[in-house]
Formats: sequence, C-alpha cells, structure tokens
Amino acid sequence: MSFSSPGFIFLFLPVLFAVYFLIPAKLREVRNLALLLFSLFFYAWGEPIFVSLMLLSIFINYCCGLVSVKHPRIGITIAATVGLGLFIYFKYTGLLLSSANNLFGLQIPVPEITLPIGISFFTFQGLSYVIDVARGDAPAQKNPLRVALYVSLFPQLIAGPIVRYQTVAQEISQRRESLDEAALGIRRFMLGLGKKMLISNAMGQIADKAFALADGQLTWDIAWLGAFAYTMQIYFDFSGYSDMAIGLGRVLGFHFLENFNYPYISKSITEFWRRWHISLSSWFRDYVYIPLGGNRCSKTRWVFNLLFVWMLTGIWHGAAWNFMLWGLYFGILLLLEKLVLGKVLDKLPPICRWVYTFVLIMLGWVLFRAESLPQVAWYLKAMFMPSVGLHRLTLYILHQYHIELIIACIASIPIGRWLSQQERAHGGLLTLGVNLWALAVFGLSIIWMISSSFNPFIYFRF
Amino acid sequence: MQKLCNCIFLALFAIVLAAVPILTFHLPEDYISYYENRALAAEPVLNRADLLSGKYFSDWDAYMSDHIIGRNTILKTYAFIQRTLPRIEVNEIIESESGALLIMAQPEQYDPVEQAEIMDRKTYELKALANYVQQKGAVFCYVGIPSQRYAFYDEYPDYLSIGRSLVDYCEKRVFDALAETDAVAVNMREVFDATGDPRPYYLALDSHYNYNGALLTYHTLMEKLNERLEQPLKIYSDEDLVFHTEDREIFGAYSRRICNLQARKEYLTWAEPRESIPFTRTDNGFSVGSNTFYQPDITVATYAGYMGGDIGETIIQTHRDDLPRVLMFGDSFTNPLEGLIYASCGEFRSLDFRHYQGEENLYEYIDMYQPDIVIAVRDNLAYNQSEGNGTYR
Repeated sequence: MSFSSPGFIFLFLPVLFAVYFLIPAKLREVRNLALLLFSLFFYAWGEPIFVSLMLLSIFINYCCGLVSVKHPRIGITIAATVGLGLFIYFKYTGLLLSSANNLFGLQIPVPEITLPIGISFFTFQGLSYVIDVARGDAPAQKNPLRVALYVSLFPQLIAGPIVRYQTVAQEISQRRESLDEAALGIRRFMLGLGKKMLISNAMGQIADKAFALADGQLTWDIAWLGAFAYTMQIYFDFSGYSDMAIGLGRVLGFHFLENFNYPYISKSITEFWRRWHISLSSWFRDYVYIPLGGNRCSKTRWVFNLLFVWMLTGIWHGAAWNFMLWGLYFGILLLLEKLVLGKVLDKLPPICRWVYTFVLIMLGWVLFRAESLPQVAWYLKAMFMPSVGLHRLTLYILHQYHIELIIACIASIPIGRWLSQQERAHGGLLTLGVNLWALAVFGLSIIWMISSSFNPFIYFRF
Repeated sequence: MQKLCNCIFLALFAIVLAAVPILTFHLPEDYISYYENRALAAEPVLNRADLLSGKYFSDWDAYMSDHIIGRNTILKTYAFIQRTLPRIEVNEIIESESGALLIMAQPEQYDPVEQAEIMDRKTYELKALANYVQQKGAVFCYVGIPSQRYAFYDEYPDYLSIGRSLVDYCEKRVFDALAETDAVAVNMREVFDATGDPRPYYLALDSHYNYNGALLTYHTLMEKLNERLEQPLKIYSDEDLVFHTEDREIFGAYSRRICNLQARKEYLTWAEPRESIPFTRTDNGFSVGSNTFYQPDITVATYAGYMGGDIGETIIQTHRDDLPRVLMFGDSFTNPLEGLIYASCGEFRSLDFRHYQGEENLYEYIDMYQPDIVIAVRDNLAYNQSEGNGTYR
C-alpha cells in the first residue's frame, strides 16, 4: 500500500487511528498487537502472498536473536545466511543468471521472480536486530510479537528509513503518544505527502520525458534538465516518503532517526553521503564497513573496504549493473576526496564546492536512472556535447513546469527546517501558520492525488 | 496557544479522515465520470485469485479514488488551479490565444521507409475497394477531412514543433491513389484551405468540425457525386433547411478535460429539411425514433447529439424506392453528414466499424446490401491507420 493513495489515507489510517487510540495507553501490548496486525494488513494490501515471507524472516531473526545472546557468531551467521539468501534469491537471481548467460554464452533459463516489496528494508532491519543483540547493544527480545512489530512496523516497512533495533527497542515496550507529538507527526506526514505529490511527481514527468529520448534525439540542454529533474524527483520522492514514515511514527509514539538532511546543499560528496539516505549509509558503515576493518587497517585494505561497501550500496538499490556502477562511482569519488580532492576543495570558495558537488551528484543520478549501460553512455555524452539552440522539449518543460522547478529548488534548501525550529521555539501564531500551511499542502496533495494518474514511488522497487 | 492550535489542527484532520470514507460510502454511487467521460471503477468483488495477487486491494484503491466524496469538485478545483498557473497545457489541453482548445500533440516522429510501406498497403487496399465498388455498379466516394488539430495547427506554440509532413505525405498518397481509380475524391483540406481560414468550420472545444464544416463538406461531396450520377441527388441549400441551436453550451471532448472552465463557449447547431421527409430508423437492428439529432446523455450537450453518437449500424428508410441506396462508413465525422444525406436517399445506411456488432466486413456488407453509392469518410490523421474504419476486409 502506498502512503500516497486514497485507500491508505481514507480507509487504512482512519480505522488504524480509531482502533489504536481507543485501546487505553496502559494496555501497551494490546496496542502493539493492533499495530502489528495493521502492519501485516498494510503489507498484505500490496502483496498478500509475500506476508508469509516476511513472517518467515521475522521468525528466523527472532530465533537468531535468542541464539545470539550466547552464541553471537552462530546467530549472526544463520540470520545473515537465511536473510541474505532470500534477499539475493528474490532480488538478484535474474541478474546473475542473465549475466552468466551473456558472459559465458550459457542458456540457463532465467526465471521471472517477483520482487517482494520492501525486502531490502525488512531484511536489513531483521539483520540489524540480530547483530545489535549479538554485540550486546540491545537485549534479546523474548516476546516474538515485539520482534514482529519491529520488523513489520508499517510506516518504515516498504521504503524505510531503515530503523535500527537499538533505536526503537525501548519504544516498542515503553512509549508515550502525545497530542503535540501527534500534531507534529501529522504535519510531517502532510508535508511529506506534498513533497511527493506536488514536487516529485512533476519532476518525474520531466525526467521521464528526457530519459525517454533515444540516442541522437538528446541534446545537452534537455539532458541536463532531465538529470536535474531526476535529481529533484528522487530526493522529494524518497525524503517525502521518509517524512511521512517519520511523521506517522511520531503519531504512534515512535521516534525514527532522520533519513535526509538537505543533501543538495552539500559542499562535498563526503558531506552529501552524511545527508543522503542516512539510515542506509550508517547501516553499511556500522554493520559492514567497520566490521571489515574500516579505515583502521592498511591503506590497500581500506581502499578495498570502501569500494566494496559502495559496490554493495549500489547493488542494494537494484538488480542491474548500472546500480553497481553508481555505487562504485561514489566510492571512487569518496576515495578521491579523502586522498586528494579534500584539501583542494577546502581552499575553494563555498559556491565552487557546491557546484562541484551538485554536478557530480547529478551525473551520479544519470547512472542510477538510466535503463541500461549504453543509455548511460549516450546520455552522459549528450550532456557534454554542445549544440545550437534549445531542444523543443526543453522549451516545453520550461513553459509547463517552471513553477515546480522553482519550488523544488527552494524546498531543497533548509527554509522549512528553519521555520519549523522557529515554530517550536516561539509557538503562537507560528503554530497556527504552520498548521494552516500543512493543511493547505495536504488539501492540494489530495486534489493532485485524485486528479492525476502519474504517481510512482521510486523506492518501492528497492 | 500552541496546544490549542495543535488540538484544532488534529481535530480538523480527524474530521476529514472520518468524514471522507463515511460520506463516500453512504452517498449514492456514480457510475460515470462526468468530466472524464469514462466508467468509474466498480466495487471490488472478493475472490481467491484477486486476493492472492493483490488485485483485490489495488482495486479498492481505484474504487476509493473514483468514488471519493466531491470527486467532480476535486477535478474541477485541480483544473482551475492548473489553469490559473502559467502553463502550456492542462490535462493535455492547450488553450490558444483565440480561446480554442487544442489537444496536446507530440512532434511527428516516423520512419519514412516504414510509412511508405504502410501507405503502399493502405492505398492498395483503398484502390481495391474503389474498384470493387465500381465493379458492383456503384459509385465510390472518398471524403478526407482534416482533424481539428490540423485546422488549428497555427495556434499551437511554435516550439512544440508538431509538424505535419507525415499527414501531408499520407494525404498525397491517398488522393494520388484515388486518382488512379474512378472514385469521387473529396479532399476537404483543400476546400477548407481555399476559404482562407479553416477555423470557423471547426469546433473550438471539440475534436470535430462544427455544423458549418459539416454543411460545407455535405455540399462539396454531394456536388462532386452529382457530377458522376445520371440522376443527381437533391442537395439541400440553407433555404431548404430549418436550423436549430442547442440552448446549452457544448460540452466538448476538449472542454470536458478542463471541466468546462474555458472562457470560450460554443453551441451546437443542426438542421433538418424544411419539407418533412418521413423516415424510419433502426440502430444496430433495433427500431428507434425518427430523429437525426438527440443527446444520448440528457444532462449534457455534446457532439454525440448528431445522430445520437457513434452507432455500429444505422439504417434510415425514407421508402422512396426511386432514390438511390447509399452506404456511408467512417468515424464520428460522418454523424452530422448522416442527418443531411439521408434526405436525398431511398435508403441510407451508416456503418461505424469501431462499434459494428455484425460479422460482415465491408466487402461482405456491400455484397449483402448492394448500395448504389458508397461513401467513405476519414479524418486526415487516420489515413495511415488500420483500426476500426481503416480496415475493409
């Protein structure tokens, strides 16, 4: 089920809130049970058949968590083998077999395997639980329903943020829902929905038009415009979803960590990855990079660790080689910044550092968005091949979408956060204003949702 | 203050969250989307296959979206906001400076070799049909009519660069092919262009011509036909006709898309012979009233008022056996012509193969009906198309 669907907002949410808040707060376990059932139903709404897969994942992680208390290595090994085994089977079988066929001239039949929604997220969350228990960062949970609730909690189930067990372990059993937190959460949900419906979808329409152009049709202007639009689409799509997830979590008494921190104001790639999809990069840092030795090892080993982690980060996003290329691209850029560029960048004016970063980020998103490696090549070539005049599509887009383009630029800088801080500090009319603003954005989002058919969610496919 | 604001905010949200589903499920259900001209999603029916595939739940999403309380108001608000913003198009409709509504179109992109092959085939089929009709002792008349988009081409923003080279190429191939036959060829593009400005002959809010355009087409094709006939058909001049105009403004295919919010308004006109010609009419084998103009949906005035819309087979009998039997086939551009041509025939039949329920193809129908005149009507964007009325056998 998508947050930006009428079924979610006008069927699921009212029933959930009614049931959840009618149960007295004292009956925490009953509230948790209700939340678990609603979360499973939320998942079943999209793909009922894969609920069993998620239940299997929960069961394995629950058992491995118990085993990990006394036998950490065994617990982690079983959880990783089974969890990642299922993950690899569902996500990468097609890619591995078709690549083997191409590479070695084999003719192995490639099965069409449907990717369970959110498998990348709930697999990593399950592993996070077992590893946290094995490391002693969190206690093993004896109540399987609590593990089930942690893994399947609907706000972050399908597109993150990847919530680490230690973050919410205490809140699963002891949390306090409050009116102010609920208002904050609902506002966050509304503004997240607005990011998705009002900005991301418009940017997606531009990007789809640009990336649909074939080799020979692309000119530098539409290629850059398309790359910029996709840069904005993926940010407002994913951060909008994260806002909605964090907001709904707040209403239900959970405090998920922030997933985005205005990444497009970054002045280096290193800073960008501290601000973009924070839950994923910190997951890889804490559960893969550091256990591999991090940077406390030989230089060669460190280079390997970094590139390996970024290759995994890339391929986590999708079963295609361009995702791996995208991961390696950022791995190499981070290496360069740490070894050479960092010192040079420090001497440059902030605007130059920002331009450097933003251009490289856009180029990265071209790798990410392209449907194939040849498209990566022709798209990048078009970006750097000057041509006379502007493409007709550029003119059309600038006439049709200039308002959304301007709003996207403004919304990607931290004006919203500053306003939110002012509201929290001063309240009064600011609270009224922020609430009215959220309601207006919500109203517009509903109007857009009902009236337009273009409403994809990029991170659903991960 | 902060707490009070948050209380009111949450209360408002809760009211919306509760009221929308309650009202949606308790108010009478609509079945047709007024502005989108489509059937709304039906309430999902639970079955094992749909439940397991997830279709049952996704159908609920579609149902909720289609039946949400105040949906027409939501669509209208969306169109209003979009029109207020400085945009080129709203819901794929461009509102030109003259106030005409134009459908958004992509630039022509085509493979000339592929199009040449298509037109080789199309013109071969067309010539074969023309010759077949002639062999049967009948007259074949082909009428090409520019689409509204083509007539208003100059009102599109230049940078859209839609182009019309493909349409022009297809038109040339069609009329070159007809010139190799004995068919009566009527290229209304040339006729409309010769007036100096084709736009007054077209609806500004719909994809079709207006009644002036239909009348000009009627006169042109009848005059050309009469040049070929031993017994000329009566051509009804303006003096022979009584004109009517609908009270309600037209709800055009394009104005519908922007919820009729455009400034420009138009009204449908139609005519009937001053001297009454009694006739009987059957549609798809069922007897219907003796009308050539009625709105199938009484709530709105649309182009479908001409003959009641697109109908698979219409048979009009004036019971004057001395007059010819005429068969016309084509898309919606035939509809206003039908209401005029029938008056000159003993029997008039109209086929629209997009909706025809019989099993005969055009050749078989001609064999069965043995008409004296066969009239094909095609819009110029469809010359290279094979769907519906573009396939004869």
